[in-house]
Amino acid sequence: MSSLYEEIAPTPAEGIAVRRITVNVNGADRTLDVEPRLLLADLLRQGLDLTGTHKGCDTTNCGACTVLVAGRPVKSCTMLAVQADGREVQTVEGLATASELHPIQEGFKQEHGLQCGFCTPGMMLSAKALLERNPNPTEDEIRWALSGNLCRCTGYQNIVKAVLWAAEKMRAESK
Amino acid sequence: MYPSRFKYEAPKTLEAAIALLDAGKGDAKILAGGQSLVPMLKLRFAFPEQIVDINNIPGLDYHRFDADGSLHIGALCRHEDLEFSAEIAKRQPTIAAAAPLVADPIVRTRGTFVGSVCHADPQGDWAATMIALGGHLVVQGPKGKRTIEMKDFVLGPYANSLNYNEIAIEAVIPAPKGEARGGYLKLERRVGDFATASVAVALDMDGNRVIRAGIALAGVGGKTIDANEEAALLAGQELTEANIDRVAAAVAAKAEPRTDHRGSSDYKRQIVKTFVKRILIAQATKKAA
Amino acid sequence: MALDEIKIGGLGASRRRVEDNRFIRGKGNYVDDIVLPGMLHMEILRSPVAHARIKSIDTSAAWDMPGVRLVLTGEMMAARNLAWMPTLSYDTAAVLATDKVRFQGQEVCAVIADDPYIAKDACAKIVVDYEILPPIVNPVQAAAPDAVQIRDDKAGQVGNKVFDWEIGDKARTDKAFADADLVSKVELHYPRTHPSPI
Repeated sequence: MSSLYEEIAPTPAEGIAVRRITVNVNGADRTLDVEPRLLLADLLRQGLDLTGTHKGCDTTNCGACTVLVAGRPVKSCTMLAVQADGREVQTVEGLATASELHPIQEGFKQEHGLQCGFCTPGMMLSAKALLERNPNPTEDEIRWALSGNLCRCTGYQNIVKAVLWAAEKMRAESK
Repeated sequence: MYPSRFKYEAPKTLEAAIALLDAGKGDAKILAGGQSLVPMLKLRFAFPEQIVDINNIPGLDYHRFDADGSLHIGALCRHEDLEFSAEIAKRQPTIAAAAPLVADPIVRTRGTFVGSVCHADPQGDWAATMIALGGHLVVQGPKGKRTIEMKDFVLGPYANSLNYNEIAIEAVIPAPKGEARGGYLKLERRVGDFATASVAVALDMDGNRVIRAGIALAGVGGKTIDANEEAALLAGQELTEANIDRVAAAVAAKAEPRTDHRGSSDYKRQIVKTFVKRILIAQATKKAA
Repeated sequence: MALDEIKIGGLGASRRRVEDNRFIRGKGNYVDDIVLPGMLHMEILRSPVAHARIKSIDTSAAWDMPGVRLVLTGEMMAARNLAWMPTLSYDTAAVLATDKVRFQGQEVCAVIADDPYIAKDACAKIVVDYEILPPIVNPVQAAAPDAVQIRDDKAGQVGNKVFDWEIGDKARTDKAFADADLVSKVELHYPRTHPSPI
């Protein structure tokens, strides 16, 4: 029996050392017993059924696994779940409220910033972190900030437009 | 890809971390940013018995200039802390130029300067920067602290001179003797790729006269290339076109590039020469602060 | 989608995509997102070498690991006539290697386990004894007259050419080249592409 996730094995399998961690995911505290080697991406995808965070390359290149940890973008395939103990993690599932999309999600929709959608969660979270630090980025600044996220479909042009659209909406809303 | 099993501790003090390393007798590995270690765990190229996570130790995530002008970078200072630092931009231009070129923006939120130097990747940007700047590391073990000069720190690819029970707690860049100038240029086919060639140039200037110069290269040899001897040709000199050409040629000759899919060795040598010139010319035409 | 967003029009009328609503919310349901009750996970053990005879495979340690349900070898597949499968180009491809591995990365064993970490651990415990043979790693080597034969599994196979395909009028093509003012030649290397569902 798997010893990784509380939902499947409330008691750890015999002899396998687990660690109890509490991670605040999208605003809710989640407590799980995990093996130290569990990757944060797998905690999210398998332990918490949040499959919006994707594993693209598994080699720290593509950024499809990007989540926000304490507000900063992190490649979740390159972080151990135990390192998120006591930290706040935001995934794509935490962007929208019950009734409204986040302006970044709106922007990707309005400006055709996605095709297959695989890179999109990572792109949006990196963009969110950028706009928090720089609410009025230039196109170059957007391209630079998103240079850790790869896209095979769009050629990036509409992704940049989507972020510019979102930036303008967020500036207008904050007035 | 998934790591093999390991024991894991997240101590809250440096002393506890050192005790764990000591007890591990060489089978324990420090986890800081993890941007080099975790990929190696996933590939199972690294399979330590125990991971000692230092991210919960307070007081390590700093970078500061002391009154004497030396720069101290703590073990948990992330690449992006240096990238976004206005003080670094003003006072340590070589570091300011290199920081945005390390890996990619997401890796930079976790990866650490000190961890990167300890990882001793022959391609490492910070190793070249440390050599050019003449930096040293402060390390701490069960018997206390000691310093290791950067040039004595890297023994070979992915091998450093730390004892198994020591942690590098700080990198120190000595105070410039005059005005710190310099730059870092990296040719990569795309963000995050290994460098085709990288050049770190660190100058201490008095007007247009060089007090001290340091140059190091990454990506053009099996290890960081220390070109401080060639850079010393500039000591006491003005940054004239002739001097710049001479140093650039000497540094390019010191490089040991290999022909591969990133380019021929001639091409890489030409890049080194061009980058050295470009950085030096930019310093010569800059008005003194 | 709001009614006022639906514009009725013919060719050239712009449309909002219907799939974006799922993707931007992280509800894409890509292949690896699928979760089924009682789902198991597979990891494949691959050959580290390009050409070798398989002398033996010891899967006993893998079978012993808690959480491992099945350790498949080519021999088990062959017993069920499942070790080779037909391809689209009228060839056959190995599902799991039986006598030899014929390319680096070729599938040798498959472990089915309760979670992917355990499956990976089990693969690491499988011991394969390879007798390494000379590798062929590009078409030029493969075409050399003294090249070692890779596909000795194909009855009647001589050398390494397994596929011969021609279309068009050779005589007219040769004449066009012969009559040309200038003949230019370029060598292109196409890396192998492998489509994968996301």
